[in-house]
Amino acid sequence: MPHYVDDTIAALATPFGISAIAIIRVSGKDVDAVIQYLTGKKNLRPRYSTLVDILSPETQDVLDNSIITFFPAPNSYTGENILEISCHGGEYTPKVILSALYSFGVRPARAGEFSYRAFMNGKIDLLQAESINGLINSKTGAQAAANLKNISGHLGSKINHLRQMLIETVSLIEHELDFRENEITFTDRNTILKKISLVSDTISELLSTFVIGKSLSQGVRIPLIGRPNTGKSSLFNAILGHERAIISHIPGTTRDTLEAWLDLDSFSVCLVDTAGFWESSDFLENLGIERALSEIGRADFLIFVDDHDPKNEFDRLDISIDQDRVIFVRTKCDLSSDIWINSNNEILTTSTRNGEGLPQLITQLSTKIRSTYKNINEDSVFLMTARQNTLLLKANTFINNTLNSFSSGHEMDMLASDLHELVRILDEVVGIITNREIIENIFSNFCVGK
Amino acid sequence: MNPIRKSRFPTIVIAGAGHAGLEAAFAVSRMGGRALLVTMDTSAIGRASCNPAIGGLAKGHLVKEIDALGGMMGRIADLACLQFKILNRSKGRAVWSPRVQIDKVRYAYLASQFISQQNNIKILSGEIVDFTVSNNVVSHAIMRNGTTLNCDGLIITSGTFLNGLIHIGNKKYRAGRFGEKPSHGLSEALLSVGFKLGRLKTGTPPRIKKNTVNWAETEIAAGDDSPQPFSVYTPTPFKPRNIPCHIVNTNRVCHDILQNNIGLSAMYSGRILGVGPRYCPSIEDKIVRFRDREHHQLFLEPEWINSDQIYVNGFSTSMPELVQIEALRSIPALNNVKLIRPGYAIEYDYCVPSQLKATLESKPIGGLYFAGQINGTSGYEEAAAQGLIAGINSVSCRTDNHEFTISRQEGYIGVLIDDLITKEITEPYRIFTSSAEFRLSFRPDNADLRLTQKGFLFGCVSDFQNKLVKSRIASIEEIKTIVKNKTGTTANFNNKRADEFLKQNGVSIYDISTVLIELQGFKDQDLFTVETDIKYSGYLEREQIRMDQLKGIESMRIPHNLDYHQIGNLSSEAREKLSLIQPTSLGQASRIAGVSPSDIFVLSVYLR
Repeated sequence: MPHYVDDTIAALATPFGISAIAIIRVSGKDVDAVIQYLTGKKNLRPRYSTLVDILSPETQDVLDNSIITFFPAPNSYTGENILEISCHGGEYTPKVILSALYSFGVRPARAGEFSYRAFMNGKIDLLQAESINGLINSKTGAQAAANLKNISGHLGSKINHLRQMLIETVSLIEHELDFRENEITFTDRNTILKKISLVSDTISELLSTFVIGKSLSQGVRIPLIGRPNTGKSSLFNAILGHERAIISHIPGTTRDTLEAWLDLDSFSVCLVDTAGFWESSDFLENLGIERALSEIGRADFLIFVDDHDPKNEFDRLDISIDQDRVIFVRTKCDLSSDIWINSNNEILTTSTRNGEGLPQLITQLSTKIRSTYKNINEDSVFLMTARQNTLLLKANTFINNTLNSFSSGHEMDMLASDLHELVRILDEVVGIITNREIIENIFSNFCVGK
Repeated sequence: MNPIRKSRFPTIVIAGAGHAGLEAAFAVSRMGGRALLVTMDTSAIGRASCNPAIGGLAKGHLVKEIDALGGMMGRIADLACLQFKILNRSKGRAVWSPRVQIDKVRYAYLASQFISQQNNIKILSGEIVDFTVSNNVVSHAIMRNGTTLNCDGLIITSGTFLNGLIHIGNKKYRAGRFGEKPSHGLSEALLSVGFKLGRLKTGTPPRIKKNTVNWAETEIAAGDDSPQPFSVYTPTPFKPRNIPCHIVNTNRVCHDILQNNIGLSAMYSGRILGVGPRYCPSIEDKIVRFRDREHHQLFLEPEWINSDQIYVNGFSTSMPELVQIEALRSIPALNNVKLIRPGYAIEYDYCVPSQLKATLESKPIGGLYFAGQINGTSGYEEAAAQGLIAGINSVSCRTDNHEFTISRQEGYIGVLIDDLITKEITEPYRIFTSSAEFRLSFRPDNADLRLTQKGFLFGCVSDFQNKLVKSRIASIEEIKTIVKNKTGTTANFNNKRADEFLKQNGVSIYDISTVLIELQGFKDQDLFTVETDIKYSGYLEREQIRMDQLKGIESMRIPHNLDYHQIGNLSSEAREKLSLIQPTSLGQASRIAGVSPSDIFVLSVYLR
């Protein structure tokens, strides 16, 4: 991706389509000229909403009556001059204003480019950039709150604190390596070990938050799995109906699934109907099993469905999953004449026809989710993206190796090298990366206009 | 900036015969040029101004690298050795630093003899005060007595002599070194052609009279039992003298005396810093910075064999003479001590080294080189390393436009020179192991493996030396092959491969050689290198990966005289610094203070 930092860029910041108002954002050094070009006005008062006529450059016809705001550099989102145009929405007006901009020489912004510039100009670090993106994509209150936390820099400051501790420790060691015994007092090995252990503990703590963070940002994934024709799809629809979720049968991210989102206790839950996995009535057909197992691998919880004996069927599959995460449901209980004895109340019986069992099922789901994610409180900071998690996992493995080597007698020169490497890994987390491609890659996953 | 006329047998004038000047002259001679070594005092050739020692933390690494490139410092140090010691033994092999206490008189004598015996080196008594430039290239060097020397290159290695001013307490007087005249004229000549100069101060400890010390109250420190020579030219087994040196400690009383008189110290900066700048020049700085320490160690080192003059290592100072005496006398062993010479600070002109290229040639004027303390460094080893590089280049750039540079990825010499030409000098620059990103790869024992063949291809290393390193490389390969292919059969080895076993802490290659007896025929130094490489193998691989990653950014050249004002989106500080320093590569640009990663991004896009 060739990247020109000299250009002035523009994009629609609101979604395309019918809406009352649309916002177009322009960023770059030519914003003054752009304002004059579009409106004839000069020296706009900074940060002041101004009602103007946007004029067609060729004909001087009025294209729109808009409210514009000028943010001069460096006190703007990107750190460059920014012009925000709040124009009338719809499919026509924003388009024609953008055309005028492009004809002036402003370039269409690429996905994530405004945030990229904000990052490059040091206005936000990488964690904040990811969180802004996360906030835009938030579906629930909890998700939004967690992202806002990180936008305010809470995660960033935790990581920077770790970096600082490591830098201080390694500076101490470097000092000792550069001077003779008589010139300075040496720190003893145990003190150093303790400092590093502290960092290690904090990294482990942060890693443990990803369980929740992932669910917050990617939703709690709950597939319905079971033999063919056991009423999975009916149950799927029934749950959604009960929760008044908007059903639009969106094809799932995996082939032959349907996914639907619902908000359960302020958690975003992604319910997955796997009815399509089995083409024949052969439950143990290999392809179907394969898909089921793969879906289970991605799941946070599992609803195992059967119209006779869900436990038995489940055991036949021999799936290794913590049974705490499974809710067993026996469907079509209105049809069956068996008296079903529930052991430990572990199996729920439902009938989609008469609605029996549904409230209890929803309650069970809620309870399970709540008890797993019970540690969200005011002060919690969460890792929210896979990138953050992967890097901290790397740091975790690394620091454990370092602690082991150092405890078993490795020398100070090696320890210094290890600590420098650890700082580099943490640098990557907050975005102090010298590899341009990695950064550009991250931002290209944002949406245009951000 | 290419010199216009090529010369097959260039004449290089070298202004100053200290450590930088000597290496430069020797290098010029090896490269097939003719050296005119000009010195104000022929009896001061190779004089060690201060510390009677060569080597030490990181400096020992430099000496090995100088030797690896054919230089003379290591050879002379070995011959003048009074005591050999490896410092930092407890901290890891990469920082084991060889250090030799020298007989200063013998060192100077041997250095002088050595240089006079070389082909194509002529020693001239006199002082260079000016030079002429034609077509932006140096053409003549001019002496105080009016003699004009035709030259193809001029290397300025004037040390601390340019407008030197000595401070002892409130007393100030002009000198290049204690008891020696300063030099005037050259600074003015440099200023007149537009060079930027600055002033620096460096300190030296007092010398005390040997028979006024209560030796019985001192602690004795002898050297190592198995000394190793710096130079490959030194015949083994290396059995130098092992004269003990003596240690005393300062105490509260001493510190109080210094503290109470701190305002009288010419050199004390008044800054109190935490774990900050690593350079700790004076005892005044030490007692302030490390206020809580009850004692500081002082080493009493003889300046030459049987000398009456003892150097008080660790007591660098510019306090008034009387305060120095009082403070020293508060130490039991020194309560009757008499000074032969007080400690003093010397202030001198230096040439801002960001005006130099990595070859140490000045950017504006061809054929004009600067090496040594004139560039703001401190230490004989730092000076010698620069002299070596300047000397080689003064010839090679004239004979066939070839530049000889060592990069930061090749050795400490590279780190030293890159730091000088890229970073700002605020205090005398001293090399530290922590200045090297690739410290674990740059060990004293592998300097020859890293640099000798490169030097040989370039012409500054002899055939003899090259053959030695080739044979060493072959031995090392053989040892590695044995160790990597054999599995131990004894219980000790746990059926591991020998190299796996060797990685464990506490295991040495000698433990293995009792089982793998074919290892017993090899030289100790080769076995040591293999053992260390294996123990550090994970780290060495990691450093190598980083070096490869950095290659891209290091090899992205920045065109000469790039106008940074034309590039949008650079921070104004970056623009200013980049314009000032004019880095030649993106890598160098990234090391300039004030240039941020996003500035580097902008540059990298612009340069594509």
